[in-house]
Amino acid sequence: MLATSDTARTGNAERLRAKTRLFTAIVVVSSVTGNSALSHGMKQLGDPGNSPLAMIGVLFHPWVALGVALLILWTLTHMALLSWADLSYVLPVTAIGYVLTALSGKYLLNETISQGQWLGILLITSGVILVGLTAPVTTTERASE
Amino acid sequence: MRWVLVFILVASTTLGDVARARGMKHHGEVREFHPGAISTALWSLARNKWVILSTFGMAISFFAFVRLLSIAPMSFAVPVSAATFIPETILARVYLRERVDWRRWAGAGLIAAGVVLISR
Repeated sequence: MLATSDTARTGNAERLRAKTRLFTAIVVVSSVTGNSALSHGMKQLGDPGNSPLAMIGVLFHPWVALGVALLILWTLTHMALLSWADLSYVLPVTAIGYVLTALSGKYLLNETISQGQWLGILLITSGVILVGLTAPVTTTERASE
Repeated sequence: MRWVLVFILVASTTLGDVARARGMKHHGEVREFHPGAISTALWSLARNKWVILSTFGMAISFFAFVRLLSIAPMSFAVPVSAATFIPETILARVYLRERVDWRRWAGAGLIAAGVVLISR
């Protein structure tokens, strides 16, 4: 009896861990690609001015539209992830996005990475691994469905 | 002006994230992802006061960040935004009652330091 409930609990923890990994990956990739697409589009457009009509017009630029769509995906997956995982888990592990942004700058845009920036990449990566080792859910009084 | 914007940025991001975590825990684990289930969830979330408060915080945070970028370089705006790690981790511990062990504290500290270095 005890063994069965233990197995069920381990199974549930495994399921949540796998689901957390998948959603963390989507959150990070959508945020990094969404922000890059948005910034690329805004740079192509230049200053649209402050009129509301110009702001709406910006949304029809393909890169801006792609960026906005990816950031909507980011919002929805980030909300879903926080529906089960701890904020003190989600916040640090999604910081790997800073590393992805720096590395994509180097390998896609041929930007250089200084020694200090490599040290930053190392610190962020170790922090993400350290937090990634903890269980994603630690609150006991979670709302049941 | 710069530091006023930094304060607004950090405070509104913290409000946005903590309220979102609170509202989503109240909603419960999202388990189904077919279009019908997603629209039902969205309809219920649109009336969740914590989620509404969070959206408000995120919107202020977005505009404060854009405004900050217009008066300060990216190498200033990005590292100062990492300051949110401190109040958010504290609130996750005291307000959301998450178990923040030494690995989470150390991880948050390493990442905040790393963000400062990476954005120079």
